[in-house]
Amino acid sequence: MIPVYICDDEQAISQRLKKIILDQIMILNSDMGPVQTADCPAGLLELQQQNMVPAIYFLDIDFPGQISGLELAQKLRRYDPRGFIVFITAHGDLAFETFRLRLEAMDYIVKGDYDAMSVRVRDCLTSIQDRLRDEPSGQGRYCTLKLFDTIRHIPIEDILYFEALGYKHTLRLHLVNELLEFNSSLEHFGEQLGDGFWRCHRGFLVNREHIRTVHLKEQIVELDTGEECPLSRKAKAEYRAGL
Amino acid sequence: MSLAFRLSVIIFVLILTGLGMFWLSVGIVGKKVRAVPFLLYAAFSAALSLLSIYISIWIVGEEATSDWFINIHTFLMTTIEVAILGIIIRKCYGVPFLQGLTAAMLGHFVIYTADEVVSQAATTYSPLFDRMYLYTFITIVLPKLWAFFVSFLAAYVLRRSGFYRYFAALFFGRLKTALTITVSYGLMFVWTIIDWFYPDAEPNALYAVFYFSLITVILLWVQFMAMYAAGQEKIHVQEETIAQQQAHMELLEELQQEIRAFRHDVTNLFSGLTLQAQEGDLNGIQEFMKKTSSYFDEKLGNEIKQMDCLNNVQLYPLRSLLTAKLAAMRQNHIQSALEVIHPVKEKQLMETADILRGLGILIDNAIEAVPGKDGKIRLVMLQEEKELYIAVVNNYDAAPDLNALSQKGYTTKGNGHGTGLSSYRKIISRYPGCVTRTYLRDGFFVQELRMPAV
Repeated sequence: MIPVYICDDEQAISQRLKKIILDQIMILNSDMGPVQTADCPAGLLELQQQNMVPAIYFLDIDFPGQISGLELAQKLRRYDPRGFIVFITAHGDLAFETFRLRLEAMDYIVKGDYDAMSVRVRDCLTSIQDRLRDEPSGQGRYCTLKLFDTIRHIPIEDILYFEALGYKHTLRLHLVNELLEFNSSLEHFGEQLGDGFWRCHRGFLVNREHIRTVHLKEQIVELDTGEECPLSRKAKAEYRAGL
Repeated sequence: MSLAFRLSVIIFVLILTGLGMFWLSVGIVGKKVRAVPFLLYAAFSAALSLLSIYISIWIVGEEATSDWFINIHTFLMTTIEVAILGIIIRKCYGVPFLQGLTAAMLGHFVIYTADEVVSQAATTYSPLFDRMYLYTFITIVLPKLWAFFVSFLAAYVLRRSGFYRYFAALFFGRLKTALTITVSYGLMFVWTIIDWFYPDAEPNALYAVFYFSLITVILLWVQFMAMYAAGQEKIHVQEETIAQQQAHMELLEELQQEIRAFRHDVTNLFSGLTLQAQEGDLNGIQEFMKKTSSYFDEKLGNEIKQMDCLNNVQLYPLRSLLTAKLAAMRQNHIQSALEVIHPVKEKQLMETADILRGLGILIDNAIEAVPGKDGKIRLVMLQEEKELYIAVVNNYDAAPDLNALSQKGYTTKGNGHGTGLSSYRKIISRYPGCVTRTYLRDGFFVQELRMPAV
């Protein structure tokens, strides 16, 4: 079961949304629920701690006199990095791009008539269901990465390799469809990730799952994406000994 | 003389020369002397000196003293030494290699000249002592001490006067860089070259005066050139700012036009509404409300939103840049959106010029990458307590190859376009703690930059 939370300071809105969500869950026959409401951010944060993650959150943008929806979502993310966040807004002009990029928010729902909200809620829940089906929860292993205040859990299978840029301990992490550069060291990740990764060169830590071929003669490790990492003499000897 | 004395003099001289050279070079690039880089340099330079002495003894011992050999030997060894210092400055202080190299060359020039002049003068003027110790002190130790003192003083003055800002201006553009390096390289060997042409010059007081004026003139010249270059750069930046502010004004004027048109519309609409109200046509009024509720947003919402966001950028040069880029997007019929929901502080970790250059590169790349029709670009800035988050998002014709993107000079648009990203990387690499992220999602290419807040 995946818990669903609604946080809005207007009782009328949250009750209406709750009814819509319950209806749609029934129609979709999905294992979401229970649906709980909180009328302030503090209440929601408390609720979240009591239940399991990932969860689905429907959040108002503004809580006059309290923390903003953005801050609330950031706090929620700290405990539930993989949860699904949908914003509720009174007007269409919210800065959704910021929310989507910064918080990986899914969508937003404009407060309005029942039918329009229903359609939007159904779209959200359907796409959540699809995503959950595509990535079975808690199965794979994750690599945790703390950047500033945010913690990211990267599925191990998405990691291709780490590359040391040889300057002030900068690492470039090559993921499927993503590049990430930050300050850290290969040693740190070598320890964290263990045997699944291979230090094929002083400046490279490669995910064994993604190795296609090791070309001993050309001293190159070829990945299944077609990318290539250099192979050091030391690693070559290691590889030979391991065979 | 005892071996211990000779050795200690040699070690003393090596350390003093190394320290002076290091101190001055680091002073030129405006950094503080730190122990680790110095020890690193001292180790390398000591090893190099020993190697050099060894080679001299080995070859010169065989084949008497030939001038050309000594000269080439000096050229080679000095070049290697300044190159090493350049690399160390690059690695430990993050100053670009060519700047570090030039600093090392200038440092070498000053120290070598100061040392050489005093030691020649000392050799000429000091009476012949029976006491070798005193003689050694006067002809070797004293000049080195003097050279060290000169370099120390010069480094202090340069650092206090913020010379580095001007110095860096000498490296804008390829031609300027090449000229700076050639001149510095020539300066470093000016002594050797003069010696080559006039081997019989008598070292005397006049001679010393000549050399000291040479140092002074050259240093003044370098300072002048640097200030001139910096001034040119400043004018250039100001021109750019003016152009950007003009773009901002145009945006404001456009908005004003639209408001005027809107006012006209609203007056018309309301006169219709008044009529309906008088007739008591409630359904008609409701219909009207439904139709016009989004009208305002459609008409002016975007412009006003964009203005609000721009006003949130408290870093004025950045605001101008964003305005100019948004105007460029409108001209190219690219659908653009800017989101800055919290005020972006004026004080940031990166220097303003670097923020402008870095972000300018990202936005220009996005403008180039969007498809000819239906191009979409979104810019997001979010100031938080601990960081400033910046994202540039665009759609594309063909998905960029991320792996190739990390290589130098990648571009999808033919030659001459790919230099941007590598200079972007170079800029970012100078600021520790920054995180960059590049990814593809839902048909969009996203470039993120997160920098620690100060």
